[in-house]
Amino acid sequence: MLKHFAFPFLASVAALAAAELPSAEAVFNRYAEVTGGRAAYEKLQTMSSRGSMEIVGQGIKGSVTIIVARPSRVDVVMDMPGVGKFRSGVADGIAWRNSALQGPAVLTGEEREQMLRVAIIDGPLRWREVYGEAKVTGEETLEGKSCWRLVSRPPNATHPETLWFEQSSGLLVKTATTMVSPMGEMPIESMFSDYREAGGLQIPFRVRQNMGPQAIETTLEEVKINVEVAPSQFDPPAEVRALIK
Amino acid sequence: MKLTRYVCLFAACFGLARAQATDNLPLASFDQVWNTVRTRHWDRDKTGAAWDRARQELRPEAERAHSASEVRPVIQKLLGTLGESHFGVIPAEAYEQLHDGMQEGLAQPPFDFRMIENDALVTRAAGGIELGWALVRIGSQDVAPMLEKVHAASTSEREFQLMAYAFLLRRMSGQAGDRKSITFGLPGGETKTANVALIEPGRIAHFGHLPPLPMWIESKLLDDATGYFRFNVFFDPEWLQVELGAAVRACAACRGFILDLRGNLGGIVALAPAVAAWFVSKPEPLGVMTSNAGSMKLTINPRPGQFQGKLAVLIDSLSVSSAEFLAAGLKDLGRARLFGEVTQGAALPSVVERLPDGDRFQFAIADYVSAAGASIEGAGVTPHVAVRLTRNALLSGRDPALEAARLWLNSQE
Repeated sequence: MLKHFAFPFLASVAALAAAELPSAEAVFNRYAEVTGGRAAYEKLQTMSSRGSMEIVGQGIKGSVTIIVARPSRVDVVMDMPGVGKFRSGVADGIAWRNSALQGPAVLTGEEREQMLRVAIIDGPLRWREVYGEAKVTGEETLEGKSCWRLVSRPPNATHPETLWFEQSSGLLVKTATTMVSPMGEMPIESMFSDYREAGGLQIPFRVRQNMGPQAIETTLEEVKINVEVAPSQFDPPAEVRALIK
Repeated sequence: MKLTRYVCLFAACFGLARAQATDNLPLASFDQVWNTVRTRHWDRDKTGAAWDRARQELRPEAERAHSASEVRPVIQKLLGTLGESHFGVIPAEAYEQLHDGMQEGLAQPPFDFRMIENDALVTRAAGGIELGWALVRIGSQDVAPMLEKVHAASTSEREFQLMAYAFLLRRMSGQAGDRKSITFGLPGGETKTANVALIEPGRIAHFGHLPPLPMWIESKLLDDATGYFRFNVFFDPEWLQVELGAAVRACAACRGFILDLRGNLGGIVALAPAVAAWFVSKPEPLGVMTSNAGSMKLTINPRPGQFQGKLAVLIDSLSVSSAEFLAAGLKDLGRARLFGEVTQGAALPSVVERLPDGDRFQFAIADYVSAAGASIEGAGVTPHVAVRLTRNALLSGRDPALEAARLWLNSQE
C-alpha cells in the first residue's frame, strides 16, 4: 500500500520540480540581456582584450591578448617566458595554432570545432550555434549562490558541456566539459567572475580553468569594444600558411 | 638534480609541520610515506586494498621503531610491495652530506666529464684540460671520498653515475670568471693542478619556480656532410626550436643527422615530441604519461621541412627523462638507430619530500609507457649498437659512439 501511495506522490513532485525549471532558451536570453542586451551584441563588431595569465602554483606567468571580430575571426596570443609564445586563431573557416612547443598545425575534428566556437563574437545571441541542444536539468548551489544547471551538446562534440547560471544575476559562472585533442581527453572546468562593464557589455574579467592537475588563471586588464582591427591581424603565420592546401 | 633541490626545500617545510603533530617521528614517517603513495600514485590497483593490507601488516613494526634507522627498513619493505623503482628512502645523513658544501652560481668549467671505470674522466677537452684526465681534487677536497659518499646514497650504479656527475659539477660551479683549483690525474700517474676559469655556457633558462638552469646547444655540420646537434636540457623551447630548425634546414642535402642526447638531463616533457617533429613526416605517438589526474598522449606533430634522411641518436647513462622519452620514441617508430650506452632509466617525474624523522622520501608521480608499450623506468633505453666509452679511447682522442654512428650513416645499411 505504502508503495502504491508513495510512487504517484514522488512522481508528481518530480513533475512539479521539472515544471519549475526554466527553458534553456529563457536562461540564455536572460544571460544575453543582463550582459548588455540584444542591441549591444548586434552592434558588436570587434572585441580586443588584454591581460595576464598564470599557471597556478608553478610560477609560470605571462600575457594574453584575444581579438575577436565578425565574421567568425579570432586571434589569441599567450606569451609565457620560459615556455614561449602560443598563438591560435580562426580566419576564413580555418582554425590553426602555432607554438615552439607544438609547432604549427591546421586544426581538424573536435579541436577545430572548439576553436570555431571561440570565434563567435555574439555567442549569447547565437547560443544554439555554440551549445547546440541544451536543457536545464536542475538547480545547484555554487559558492553559496543558487544556480541553474544546464546541460548542452555542442555541435559535433563527443562530450556534453554543462553550464551554471546564477539565478539572481543571470550571469554564467561556470562551465565544465571534456576537451578532445591529439594529446587525449582532458576534463576542463572554467569559473567566470569579476564581471565588469566594457563598451556596454558585461565581461568576466577573471577566469580560472582547472585542467587535470593544472589550474590556469586569466585576469583581463583591458577590454575594448569595436576598435578598428586590421584584417591582417587574423592572418595565420607563414609556418601555418605553408600547411594550408 | 636542481629540480630535486627545489622540491626538497618546499617539502622540508611540509615535513616539519607534520613532525610537530606527533612525538613518534619514525611512525609519523611510515604514515607519511603510506599516505603520500596512496594519494599520489597513478595506479589505483596498487594503492587500493593491497596497499591497505601492507599498512596493516607493517605498521605494528613501525610502531616498535625508535629511530629513523629502525623504521627505514620497514618503510622499504612497504615500498617493496609496490614493485616499482624510483620509490625509496634516503638516509638523512647521506642526503645532508650530498648537499654539504654546495657552490652557488651557474658558471661551470668549460670541460665535461663522466664516470668511467670508477673515475671522473674528462670527456670534452677545453681550456688546456685534455680528454681522459681524471678529476682528483677540487680545491682542497679529494674526489675519491666524495664519490664514496655519493655511492652510499645511490640505489643503483646508473643512479650513481648521475648523482656523482651532479655532485662534482656543483662543487666545480661558481660565478662567471671565478677560478677553481682542480687537480687532474694524468695517464702516466702524475698529477696536474689547473686554475680553471668558469664560464656560463650558452644561456640561462628560466622555467617557473625552478632555479635558473645553464643551457647550451651545439650545432654543426660534420665534414662528411652529416648534421650534428647536441643540447644539455629540454628548456627554452623557442631557442631550441629555432636552432634545431636551422640545423635541419642547413642539412637538407645531408645523408645523415646525429642527435646527441648524451648528458642531456631532460626538462619539459612536451619538448620531446617537439624535437622528434623535425624527423618524422606524419603524426605519430611518442608515448603516454599517466598520473593520478589522467593520461596525456605525447603526440609528434611533424614540422614542415623535416629531415628525412638517416637519423642516429647518441645516448648514455646521463640521458635522462625527456631525453629518454625522445630516444625510446624514435626507436619504437623505427625512425632512428641508437648508439652508446643504456640510458639512466629515470624517466618518471619524481619528487623528494622530507620525512618527520629527517630522512627523505623520493617517489614518482607519473608513469610513462613508450609508443611500443615499454616502460623505461628503471630499465632505461637500450641502444641498437652498444658502444662503451673507455679511458683508452678518450686518451687517444676518440669518441667511439660518434664514430659508430658516422660509420652507419655513411654505410648502405
